Amino acid sequence: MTNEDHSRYLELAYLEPDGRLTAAERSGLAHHLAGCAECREARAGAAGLDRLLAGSRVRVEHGFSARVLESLPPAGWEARSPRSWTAALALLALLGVAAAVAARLGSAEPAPPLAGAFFAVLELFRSAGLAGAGLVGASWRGVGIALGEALAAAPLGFVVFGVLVAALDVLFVRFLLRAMRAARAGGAERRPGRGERGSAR
Amino acid sequence: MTKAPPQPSDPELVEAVLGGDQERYGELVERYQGRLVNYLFRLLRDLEGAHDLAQEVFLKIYQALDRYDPRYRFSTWLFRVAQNAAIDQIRKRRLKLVSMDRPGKGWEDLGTWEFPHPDRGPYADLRNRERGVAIQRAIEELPWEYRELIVLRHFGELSYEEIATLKEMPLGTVKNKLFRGRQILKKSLHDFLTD
Repeated sequence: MTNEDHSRYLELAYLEPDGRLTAAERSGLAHHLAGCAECREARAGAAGLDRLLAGSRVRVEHGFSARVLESLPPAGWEARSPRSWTAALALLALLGVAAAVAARLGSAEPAPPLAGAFFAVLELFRSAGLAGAGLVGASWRGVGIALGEALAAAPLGFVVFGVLVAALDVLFVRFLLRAMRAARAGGAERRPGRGERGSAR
Repeated sequence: MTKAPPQPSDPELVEAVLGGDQERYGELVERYQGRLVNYLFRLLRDLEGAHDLAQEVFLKIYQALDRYDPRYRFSTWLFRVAQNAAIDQIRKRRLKLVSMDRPGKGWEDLGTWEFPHPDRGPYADLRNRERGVAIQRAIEELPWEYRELIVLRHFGELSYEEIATLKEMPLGTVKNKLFRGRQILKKSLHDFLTD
C-alpha cells in the first residue's frame, strides 16, 4: 500500500459519517481499515465528532415561524398574484350585475323601496364621480388657458418654458435609466446565478 | 398502516405562496428554521441575534420570492442570503467594538440542546456546558476556509453539492476542506469524543 492510498482512505474515513461513499469506496475502506490502526482511529473519531456536533445544535425559539409570518411585509409580487385580483374582479362583476339590474328596472316600473335605496346610493357615487372628473377637467383647462395667454404675451417666456420642458424630459429619462439599472442589479444579485445561484441581497 | 402523504417540494411551496396562499410560506420557514438559526448562531455566537437575523433573511426571501428560479435549489438561495446577511452583521459588529460584549444569549449561556445529555445532575450539566464552550471555541479557531464549510455542513446541514454551489468551488475541494477541518476539530475536541 502506498502513502497515497493511505491518505485517500484517511480522507474517506473522515467523510464516511456523511453517508456519501460509493459502494466501491466503502468496500475499499473496509478492506483498508482491517490493516490500518491509524485509519480505524480516525474513523471512530470522525463518527464521534459528527455525533458531538449534531448534539450541539440549538433549539429554535417556540413560535418562531408564526412570528415570521406575522411580520411579513407586503411584497411587490403580491399585487400581481391572482388571489389579489379575485376580490377586485368579484366586486366588478357585482357592480356589473347591479348596473344591468338597474337598467332593466329603470326601463320598466318603479323599483321596490330596498332596490330604490340601493340605486340612489349608486346614483350618488356616479354623480360624485362625474363632479370630480368635471372639476379636474376644468382646472386643467384653466391652467392651459392661463399658460397659453402668458406664453403668447412674452416670447421669452415661451423659450424658458421650452427649456424647462426639455430639462424635465432629460430628468425623466435619467430617472428611468437609473431605475432600470437598479432593477437589473437587484435581479442579478437576487436571482440564482452561476451553477446554482441565489441571493436576495 | 397508512402511508404519510408526500411532502411538497420547495418549488411547489414557492409556487403556492406566489399563487396567493401566503400561509404555505410557514411550511418553508419551518422546514429551514432549525438549520438557518443553527448556522447563523455558529457564525454570530449570539442566539438572540441568530433568531433576529434568520427572521430578517426569511423576510428578504419572501419579498424576492417571485425571482426564485425553480431550476435551482431553494436551500442554496436561502443560505446565500443568510451568509451575506451574517457577513454584514459581523462587519457591523466589528465596527461597533465598544458594543461587542453586548449582553445576550451567547454560547456560554446555552442551556438548550437538541439532544440533551441523557444524564442529568450537576456534573452532567457542567460537562454539557464545557462541551458547548469547547465546541464553539474549536469552531472559531478553525481557519475561515474550513470553518464556513464545517458550519454549513454540520449546522446548516447542506449537502456537498449545495455547499459546492454556494461557495462556487469544485465538489472535490469541498470534500477535501471538510476532511481537513474535521481533522483539526477532532484534535481540538479529543477530550469530548469519548463521552
